[in-house]
Amino acid sequence: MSIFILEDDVIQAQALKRIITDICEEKNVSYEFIFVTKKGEQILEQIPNSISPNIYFLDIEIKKSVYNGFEVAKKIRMIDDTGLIVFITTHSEFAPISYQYMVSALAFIEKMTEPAILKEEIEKCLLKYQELNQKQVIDDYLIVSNSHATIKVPVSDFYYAMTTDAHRLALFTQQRSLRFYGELKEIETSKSQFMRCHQSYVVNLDKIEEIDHTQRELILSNGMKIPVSRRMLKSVCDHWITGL
Amino acid sequence: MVMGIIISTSLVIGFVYFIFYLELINSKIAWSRLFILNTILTIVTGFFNSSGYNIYSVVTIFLLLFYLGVRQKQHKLSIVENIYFSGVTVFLITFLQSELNKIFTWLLIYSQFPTYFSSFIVLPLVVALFMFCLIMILRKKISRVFAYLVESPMLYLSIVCILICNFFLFMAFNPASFFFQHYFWQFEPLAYPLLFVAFGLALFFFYYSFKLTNKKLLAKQKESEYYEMKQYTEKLEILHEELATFRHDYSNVLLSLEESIRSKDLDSIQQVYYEVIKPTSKIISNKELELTKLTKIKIVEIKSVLSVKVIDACQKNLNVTVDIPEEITEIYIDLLDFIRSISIVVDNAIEAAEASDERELIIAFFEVEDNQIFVAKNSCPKNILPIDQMFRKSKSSKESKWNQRGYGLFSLEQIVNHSPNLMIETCIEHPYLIQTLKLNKNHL
Repeated sequence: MSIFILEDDVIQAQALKRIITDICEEKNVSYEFIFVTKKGEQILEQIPNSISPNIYFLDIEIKKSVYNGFEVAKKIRMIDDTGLIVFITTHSEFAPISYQYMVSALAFIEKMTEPAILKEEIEKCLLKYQELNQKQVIDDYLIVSNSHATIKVPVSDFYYAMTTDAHRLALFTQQRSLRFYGELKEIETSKSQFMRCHQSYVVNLDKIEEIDHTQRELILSNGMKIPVSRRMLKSVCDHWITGL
Repeated sequence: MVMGIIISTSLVIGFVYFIFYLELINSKIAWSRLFILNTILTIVTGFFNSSGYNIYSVVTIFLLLFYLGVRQKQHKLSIVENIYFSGVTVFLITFLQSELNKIFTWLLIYSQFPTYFSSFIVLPLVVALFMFCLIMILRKKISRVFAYLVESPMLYLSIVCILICNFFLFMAFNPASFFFQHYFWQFEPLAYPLLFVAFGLALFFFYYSFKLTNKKLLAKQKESEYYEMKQYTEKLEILHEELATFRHDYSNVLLSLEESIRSKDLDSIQQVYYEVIKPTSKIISNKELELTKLTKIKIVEIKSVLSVKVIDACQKNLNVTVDIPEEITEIYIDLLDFIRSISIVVDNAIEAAEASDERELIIAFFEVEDNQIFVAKNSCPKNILPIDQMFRKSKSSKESKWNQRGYGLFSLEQIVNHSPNLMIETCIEHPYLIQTLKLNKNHL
């Protein structure tokens, strides 16, 4: 529950600290301490003194430290898996996607934006941090792991999966679709609310909104429609109703 | 017992027909349905009692295959294509079966093996099983022929050839039941050699169109590679010159600024700053500089393809960002497959970004824990398709059937399906669309 800032320009560091303390007061975000430094190693030394989860604001272009901002992030990840990492950067080194994947960064904030927008972005991060602190909810995940692919999807986000070819699946969540090597068997047996409604489809019963008997279709809560086979129609109906 | 063998022979041959046809049109059906169709076939052909090119059994097979082609949902086949593939299947398999039967019988008679009457009954079954195994082994190759054949100019020529072959086959096997029998009777001795030639020709066309298309593809690829490399180098040279000029001008500017500061002339300092220095931030953030980030890709083919796309995107006034943090020296899947995949993904991204309000495009390529990740993130217009419909052929955003554009995401799915360690993730986070290709390092 601590806030770490890595910034080598003293003026900017203090400015950032000020913005953060203002937001925390306004929005009632609690924290143990705010640690400001221009040396990455010092952050790594301080982490054991804190109770996770933490939030880290790191300047990517830090010069006077042994590790640069990105390397610090990588080292932080090795000790703190759940902390939020926010990169602060000037526009020229803007490299969101690779960093996002490599250290699971939460966000990128440009130093040079207007103060109002800067504050808004920092606020978004701090609110996320507050959320993390308050609810210790353990998200239930669907994990598919085989010789060629590893998938991890929150169960609450899983709508359905279908076969697209031999040993190939397409999996659909609210915002994403994943196409990978796998078998429907690996998915249907993993959770009780997952059911095989057709030879090529596994559906999450919790996501069914309507069952169309004439068209033999399942209409999911996000509007997606999937077929259900004649054989499975009745048992899908029964399981769905008992689950409601 | 004898009946049993004959029936199983028909069944096995039936399967050979169906599986060959399904592989050819790149489609699948449930085994149970296949079995039902096969049973119908066996009953009908058994009824007409023949193992050769009896016109009724041929027509039945042809109709069943045609029906299958119409009912399957994986590919939309035109009537002509359906007829063509059904025709090819019927001809090839029937001919192969009868010839193999003849060859094996000949071998049996002239070999040292003791022959019994029953051997001649079992022989067709052996041939059928042999053909079945052959088909199962060659399945993947057959499915690949489909893609090439449809794009080949030889298609229509081979259609004519197939029709002729079928005609000859009719003649050869059914001189008795043929209408113009008395007319063609004089040609009967010619029939078999002609048949052989016809079969050879058909096979030749198949093979030749395959090779031709392959060659054309390779030549086209080499040409575009050269062109792309040329464009890339030219662009780099221009950028280099621009930067050199900039550097030269900048040192002059700094000199005049220093002079103004020394004389403490605030007005002149302000003037120099606003008129000269601030505008340079535009040059620095010139998006064409993003191109230089591609130097981290050490595989020439990938670099050239991406450079052309980045140049193209910049010229279309898109806000392009290239994100390649570390050197890339190898690819974990087949290079050609990878290049085709990223081409499709980036082309789609550019198209969507152009139609959007924000006009943003981000291309990223890096490695995380034994996974290579290629990302194309773009802003997209409001009427984007929902993710479960994006990859279906008939519903592409270009609304066309075999048109190259509409074929894009569908081809992408085919490529992905061929590489087990490749995964695609499509994500919509308004207003962005993010396509991610993940290549898993093969731990073989």
